[in-house]
Amino acid sequence: MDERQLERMAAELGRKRAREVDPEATARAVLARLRTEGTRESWWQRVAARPRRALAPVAAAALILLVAVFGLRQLGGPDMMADGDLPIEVGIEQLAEDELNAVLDSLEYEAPVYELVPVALADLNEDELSALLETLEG
Amino acid sequence: MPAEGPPDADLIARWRSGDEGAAAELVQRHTPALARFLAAAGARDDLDDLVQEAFFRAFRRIETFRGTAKFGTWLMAIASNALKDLRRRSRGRTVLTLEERDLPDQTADPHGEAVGRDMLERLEQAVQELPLMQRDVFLMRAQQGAEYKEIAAALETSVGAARVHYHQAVKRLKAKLEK
Repeated sequence: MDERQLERMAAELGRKRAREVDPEATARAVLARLRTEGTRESWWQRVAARPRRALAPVAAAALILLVAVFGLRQLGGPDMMADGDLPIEVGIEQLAEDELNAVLDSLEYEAPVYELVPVALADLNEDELSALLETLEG
Repeated sequence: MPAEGPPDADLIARWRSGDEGAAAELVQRHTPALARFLAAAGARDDLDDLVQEAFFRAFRRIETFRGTAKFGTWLMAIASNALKDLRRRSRGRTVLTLEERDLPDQTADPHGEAVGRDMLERLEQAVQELPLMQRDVFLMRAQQGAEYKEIAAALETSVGAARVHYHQAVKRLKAKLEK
């Protein structure tokens, strides 16, 4: 069977039963329903009518937002966000030092105190290098 | 699709401004093709209701029709969603009998008729078993003669994707019919 034969057969599908549908009666029924139910859809009906694939980006954005909210709640415990607070997406690099400390405080995490001294690897002796490697290995 | 009368675009514009006569003309013009599409896609006793539902939905969201697809093709995409919604609500309750399927009219050739009936019956069954996108693309093209460009616009996909769906549908249908 080739594609043309298939198309010829497909053209026959539904023909017989379609003849039983009365176009005039259909028009009357559709107009009657439009008069009683209104000629415009609400916005949510339009959204619901969108194909699923068209809603995929919206669903993805909603999922990311939900994950972010859930993550923040897990991170901060139940008191971190009062009801009605909206999570604000902020990168950690955007926080000032006191804001970072506030975040760490809320996590009850004591930040180690480091003295910022510019040091290159070449400045370290063998013991210091070994100690550094050990800390990196955990 | 009849060439007589004002173009669809004019009727659509008139309906947008509230002319019910224009809507009635659109319904009468597109009902036969839409009914064929729905019957082939699997509508049974609910064919009348589904045709009405498709027009009802189309007229209520007519402002979203941008004219990138033909009105008839756009209508079929809406009808397909209406059919899907109905099937979702009545899942498991649809049982097709041989008598309910759409078979060709009687012919003078009993053997030819039997072969034709069998093939058409198998094709109809196979079409209804296709994934929805493949089914819609196949029917819009093979049954309705729509171009890939307008199919893509109506189904909100790309022309390339519409081609792929069509060829996958043809491949599956051939495999089922040649068994």
